[in-house]
Amino acid sequence: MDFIFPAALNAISYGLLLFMLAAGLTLVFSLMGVMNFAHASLYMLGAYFAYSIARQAGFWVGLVAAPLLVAGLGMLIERHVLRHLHARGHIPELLFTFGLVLVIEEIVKLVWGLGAVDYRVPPELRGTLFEAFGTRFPMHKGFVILVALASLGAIWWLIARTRTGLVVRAALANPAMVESLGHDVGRIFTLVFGLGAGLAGIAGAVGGAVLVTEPAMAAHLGTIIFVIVVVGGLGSIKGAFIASLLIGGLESVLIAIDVRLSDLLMPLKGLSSGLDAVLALKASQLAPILPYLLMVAVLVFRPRGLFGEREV
Amino acid sequence: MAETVPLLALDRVSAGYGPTRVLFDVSLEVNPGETVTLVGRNGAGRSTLVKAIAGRVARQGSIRLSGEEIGGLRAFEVARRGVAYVPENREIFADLTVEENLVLGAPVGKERGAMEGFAWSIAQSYALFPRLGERAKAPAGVLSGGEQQMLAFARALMGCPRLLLVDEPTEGLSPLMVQLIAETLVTLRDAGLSILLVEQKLDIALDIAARAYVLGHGSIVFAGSPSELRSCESIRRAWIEV
Repeated sequence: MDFIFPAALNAISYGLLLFMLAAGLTLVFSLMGVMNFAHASLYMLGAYFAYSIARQAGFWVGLVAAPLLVAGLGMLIERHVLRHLHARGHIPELLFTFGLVLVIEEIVKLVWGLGAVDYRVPPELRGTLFEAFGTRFPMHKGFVILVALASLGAIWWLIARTRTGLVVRAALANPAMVESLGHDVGRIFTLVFGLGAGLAGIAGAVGGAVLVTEPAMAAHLGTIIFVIVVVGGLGSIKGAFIASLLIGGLESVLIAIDVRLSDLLMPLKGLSSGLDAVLALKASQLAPILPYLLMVAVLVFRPRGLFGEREV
Repeated sequence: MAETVPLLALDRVSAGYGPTRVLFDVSLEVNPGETVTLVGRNGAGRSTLVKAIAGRVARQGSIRLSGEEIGGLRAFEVARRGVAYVPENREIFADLTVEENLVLGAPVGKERGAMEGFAWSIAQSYALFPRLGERAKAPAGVLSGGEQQMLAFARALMGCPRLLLVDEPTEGLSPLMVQLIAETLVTLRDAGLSILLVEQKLDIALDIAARAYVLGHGSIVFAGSPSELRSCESIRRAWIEV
């Protein structure tokens, strides 16, 4: 219980942060049928925008304004570039979003520098939220959970309980018929892209403050997000949710437990020197490659992902 | 006496899919309150013509609605001008409930556009098709083929249309459902709704319509009254009967 409880809370905190990104990416993929490679770049912009705004107007203003800016930027990208590329097929869209990754990264380096910036949570979020089983749970991680649940709850309400959400859900299934009923599907595309970008912006404004805000943050989290979407199943929000918590949980647990592989796989010890070198690794050292091992396993045994309907 | 402006007027309309042309210089008219049927063999281009009017396929030529050119508009803009579409394969939203499907058919605010057409409501949908009222909260995907066709009709009517485009409404339905759909079309016709009906079952189409067009190889090969078409055996043999 000593390590399970804090590891579980860390898993939920990190997993929900991942899900905020994966949910937006999945939503956009479901509607437009294209992977937005630049999704994690929008997350990074959320962090940098929030950092710059926080310096002028405070953390809380940045937390609200940065996601709105990122959502607006996302809508402009969809409206003025992706919409025109959509008619030419998926390859031009993929190439554009891939190029956008490079452009945004270079702009970030030019504007904010090559190193990490000093973007942190405000003093009121730096304390201990509660203590249990001899472990202190920091307030900023509780804050991540709260923001993630609030923003995901708001998105759920919008999609599941409003008329606009009804049109979005119908457009996910059959955009041509939705258009024939008098709804401007182009505007729906823009709205959904903006929603996804906004979610990435919120994740950046929060994640940047509790993790680190640097030019490599998009590349680091971007690959994990794609792993989550593949493991969960392309286009499946439920799959993205399960995979986010699974990967967030596994990483958190591996980092928390202080054991070597040799302790877990005793019978294999001494079989060969190469294997012994692997067994000497600590579980925490395996944490960064675990998502990719999981993805390989899923692609081998279940190419559709856990809840997807189409093969990757 | 002033000449009546047709509700729908097509003038030399061509359409197709990519480089493949399916329709060649089609001209036809539907007058206000009139039911017109479009018949022909499979592959003649009937569904493509309806899709061209609805803005679902690329088209050239003039398509006018009450004198306003709608040929260059997108599908949602055509719908907002009062053209409702009941597609060949129904295209209901299987994961949404019956009532949600109906709500989707009723654009609000700017979506509706300036023109008011055939007044319709969810309550009227359930009165016309009581089965839909009984299954209002059920996912549309669990409905039978006939019930889905009822839903496709009711959803189209929710847009309060001026013109209803109906594509093969009886296809794949049981004789009992075919009769129900035919009666529905008669009810709507008698209520004054303008209808352009594509129907494979010639007797039903000619019983309901005031005028008929025959489409063959993407062109209009006959235009006249149902009785004229019934008596014109050469046209029926050459372009309709299999």
